[in-house]
Amino acid sequence: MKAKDRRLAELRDAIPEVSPEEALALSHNGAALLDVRDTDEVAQGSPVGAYRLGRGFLELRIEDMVPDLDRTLLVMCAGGVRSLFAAESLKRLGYKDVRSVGGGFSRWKNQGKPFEIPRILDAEARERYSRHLLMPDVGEAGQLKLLDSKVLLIGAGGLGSPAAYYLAAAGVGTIGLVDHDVVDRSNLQRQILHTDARVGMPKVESARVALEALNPGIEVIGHRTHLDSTNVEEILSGYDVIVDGTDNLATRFLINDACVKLGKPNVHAAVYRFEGQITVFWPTYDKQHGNCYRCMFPEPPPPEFAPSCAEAGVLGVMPGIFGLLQAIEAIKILLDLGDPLVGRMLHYDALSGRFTELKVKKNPHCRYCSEGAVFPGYQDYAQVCASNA
Amino acid sequence: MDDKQLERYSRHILLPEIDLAGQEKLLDSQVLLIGLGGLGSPAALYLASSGIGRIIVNDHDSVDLGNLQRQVIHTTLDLSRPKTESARDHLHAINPGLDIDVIGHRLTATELAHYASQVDVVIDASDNFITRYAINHACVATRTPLVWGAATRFDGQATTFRNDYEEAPCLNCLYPNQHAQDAMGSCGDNGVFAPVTGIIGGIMAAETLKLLLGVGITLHGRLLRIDATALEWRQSLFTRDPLCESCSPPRQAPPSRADAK
Ligand SMILES: [Zn+2]
Ligand SMILES: [Zn+2]
Repeated sequence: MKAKDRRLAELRDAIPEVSPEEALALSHNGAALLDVRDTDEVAQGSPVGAYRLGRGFLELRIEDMVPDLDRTLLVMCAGGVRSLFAAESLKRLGYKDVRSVGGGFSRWKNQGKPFEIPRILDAEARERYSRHLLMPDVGEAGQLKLLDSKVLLIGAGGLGSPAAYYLAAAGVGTIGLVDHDVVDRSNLQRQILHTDARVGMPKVESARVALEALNPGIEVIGHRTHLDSTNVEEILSGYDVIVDGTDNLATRFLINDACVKLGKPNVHAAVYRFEGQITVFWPTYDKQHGNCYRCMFPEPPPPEFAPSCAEAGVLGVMPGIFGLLQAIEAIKILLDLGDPLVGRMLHYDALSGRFTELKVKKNPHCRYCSEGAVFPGYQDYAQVCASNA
Repeated sequence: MDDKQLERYSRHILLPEIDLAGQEKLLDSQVLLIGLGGLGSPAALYLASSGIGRIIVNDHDSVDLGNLQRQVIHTTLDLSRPKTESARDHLHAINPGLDIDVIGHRLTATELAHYASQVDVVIDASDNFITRYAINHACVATRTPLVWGAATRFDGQATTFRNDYEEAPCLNCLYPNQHAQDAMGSCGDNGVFAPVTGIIGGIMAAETLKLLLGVGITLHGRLLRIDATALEWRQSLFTRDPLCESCSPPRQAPPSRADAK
């Protein structure tokens, strides 16, 4: 008898075996079905609802998936042999009731038990996103979610540049950009998406070149237009998160109103000279504290109080820092991770090197986002100048 | 400055704290940036777009696919090229007028001291402790200001070591050698949330610009930390350790180029 066969005989004595029928019934009663085959095998099909964890990382990651050592584990491989080795290892780790599914996935499939072709990352994506896969808070499920997500950036300028770069790098599957402008040499002091050779090119095109070079696996959609009351809802409705990087006050109101109406999170930032601020307007996230832009500014200022139309100076890296903070918030929202900046406004002054946080209040009488408010319709305000990003 | 430069830097020149003189100062500045990964990518891009006249970039690695999840200075077309070359091309593409010097090997202690003494600021965007302490040592010895950062998972931190000051703390005062590894894991082992490296690199660029322009208050004696899950920033203060093995007794060497300005 070969050593392998002797060992298998021992394992068969030690590990109880269940049929696919019994395994299905047990899993309906709370047992965890665990598919320990390799990634390429799982890609051909795996039981519906199974935990999928190859033997390579079995002992290291099983507790993230099944923290309860008293829960019954039903281990499955292709034919019922590797599952015995895996089951023994899990027993040693402290799981009290571990069983092997006899005949493995091939018998499961032949007996007509439910299976699915799971979505998994291919080998290239696994390598590209390996630093995310190492984090339990992101992991494969989170990375797939990002690849399925759509984020709209309004403005491919100072804030939009780093936001777009990092959303693309992180693997957000669809990135939309709204910008009507062309690249100007004075942009290059802070708008890192663009290059000297692309001066004069539409910004959405220049952005597409940069983002596709970084990550060819994502889709970049350019909307070379100005947002107005006729197109705002149509453009925004296709996206999960809206990142407001506009330098135009009238557009800011329009984005706010559409986000409130459509229930979309609006990651808002603005920079000026050596400082900037960021918050997330998202009334439906938190009914009590979630506010909108109009809770703070119900209407645009009259012309005599509007800020000057002259271009304002800004330290080149300021929109960089705030666009990055916007990327952080957008990804957190997509992954439903941590606490978004809802009801909080973060302010950074580069000269003092300090971050401060202010609470922002919901206006209980806001015409747009208060309880029971009837949407008053979109407004095309005349150009109101604001500080540029 | 010619017309093209006046146009390129117009948003800086509009700031009274920078103005023409400040932009000229940036164009006349030199920095050494060590590490072209997660922290170095955004730092380099913003230092180049801001018009730092000479940037010496150092990294001995080449670009691999796992880098591109956060290292936005490189592209898929750069895979397996030396990071220094990929970075130089990108920096020249956004600002062709700059001197970008590349060093593609691991610097020896002697070389570190040599380059540190040439530049106004050293930026440590490296990812390991051996390099971090070697850089610290060279900057203490040459009294060169050192901008420093680190990131892992959802956490990041940054500070500035004012080696040009008499009584400034150094990296070894903040994290004595033996405790350092516990304080910060590396992103290779633990993973890292892509934009956290970006934001720390951005803060490092802001610190560098402040040092070069002589405006604002740097992070001297202050460690800034971010927890990205809550998006909360905390600041802790630290001072020089009089028994520090790296920077005690207080510095004797003449200050480097930065102090002379
Ligand atoms: Zn409101
Ligand atoms: Zn020290």
